[in-house]
Amino acid sequence: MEVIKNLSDAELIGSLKQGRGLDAAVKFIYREHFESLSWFVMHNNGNKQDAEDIFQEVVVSFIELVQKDKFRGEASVKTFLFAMNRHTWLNELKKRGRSDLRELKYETAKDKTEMDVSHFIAGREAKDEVMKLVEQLGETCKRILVMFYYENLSMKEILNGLEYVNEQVVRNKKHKCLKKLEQMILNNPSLKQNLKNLIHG
Amino acid sequence: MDNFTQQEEMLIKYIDGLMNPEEKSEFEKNLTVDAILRDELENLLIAKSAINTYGLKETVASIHTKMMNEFKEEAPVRNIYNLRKVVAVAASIIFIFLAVQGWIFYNLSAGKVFTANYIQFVPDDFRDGSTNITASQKAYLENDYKKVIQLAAASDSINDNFLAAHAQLALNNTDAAINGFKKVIAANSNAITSELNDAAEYNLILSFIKNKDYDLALNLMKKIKDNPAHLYYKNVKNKLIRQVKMLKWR
Repeated sequence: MEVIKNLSDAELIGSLKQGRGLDAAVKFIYREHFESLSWFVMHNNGNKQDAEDIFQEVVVSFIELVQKDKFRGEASVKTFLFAMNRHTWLNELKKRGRSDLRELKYETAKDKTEMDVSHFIAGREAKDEVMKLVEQLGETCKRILVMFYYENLSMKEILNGLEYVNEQVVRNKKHKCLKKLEQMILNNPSLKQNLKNLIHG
Repeated sequence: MDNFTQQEEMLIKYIDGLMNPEEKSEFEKNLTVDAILRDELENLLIAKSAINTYGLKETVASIHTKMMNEFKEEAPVRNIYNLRKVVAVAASIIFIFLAVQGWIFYNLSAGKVFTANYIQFVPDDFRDGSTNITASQKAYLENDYKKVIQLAAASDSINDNFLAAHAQLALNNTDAAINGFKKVIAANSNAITSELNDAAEYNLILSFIKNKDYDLALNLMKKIKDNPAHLYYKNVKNKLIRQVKMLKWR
């Protein structure tokens, strides 16, 4: 078992913002918060899979918020994650049309001190659509774009991992792939609008 | 070069952050006046953000899988921790039990066991208020133990000899008390009677204990335990047997 270093809230936010040490920071979030947050879902009409899905969603949304500098430390990371988890799960239950929402534990105990995080949480559906769309690009396109834009690797580094003759060929391929993705998004106006909201939200 | 327009090349260069300051300044100037260019840029930025969202979701999903596996692996370890807790609690209980038993063992003595179980003898005749008591009984009730012993020496009466054995106990002459109770038992045996026989056996046990003849006491206790009709059957408790065994181990 890997030893995960304890991080203060400030250290955690720093690691998530910089991107360096992101893996360790995410693992720390799992070790610190997965049990309690998944407990909430599992004790409020959810199963283990629901708890895992919601937690993943919360972690992704939290990292995006931190990287966009929208988490200002108004509450502790723990409180913030709990509020996000609760809100995301409530939305999911509403989406499923569960009539027993009123029975939700803590729902009745909701008070004024509880954080309202609704405006922080971006559309889950839009993200799911993005996942499908990127998968449709094909393995090579996906790898090149992720390595360049998400992992911030140089063309030289990308070339090492692929079977192309030179950087220019990779660069051209990247351009093509990005244009292809752009076209796929343009063909889906509602997704484009949702992604636009994600960027500006 | 593939068939990208120069504008597309510039847009991608811009979002990739590869323009020099002059190029960037010129490009941003064009953006302010060219709505189509702005629209194109926004589309590419949306595509880029989609890649970042995809990358982040993939990263978290990959860590998620690893962490779920780790948690699964840790579950048996947690069970071991729980087992350890149970063992620790059990060990504490055993320790406390042993400590209590040790304390009892340490504080146990032949004298204490004797005192706790000895029943002061009261002659039957006196118990029912009769004033018609023997000289031996009168002396015993007056705690004149030497006189009780003297009177018994000149008497064949089982009652007098029984009282004399008690008197010897009172005077801490344990050997003599043992002989006295044995004499009562033997007299009953010879005469095929049972006068004070059960009481003599019980007091013989206590005399053995006081004299630290634990094996003899245990043998006699076993005899009484095997006989529910014995008058002192209920007095020979398991606790008493356990205490005598503990005294024997010391």
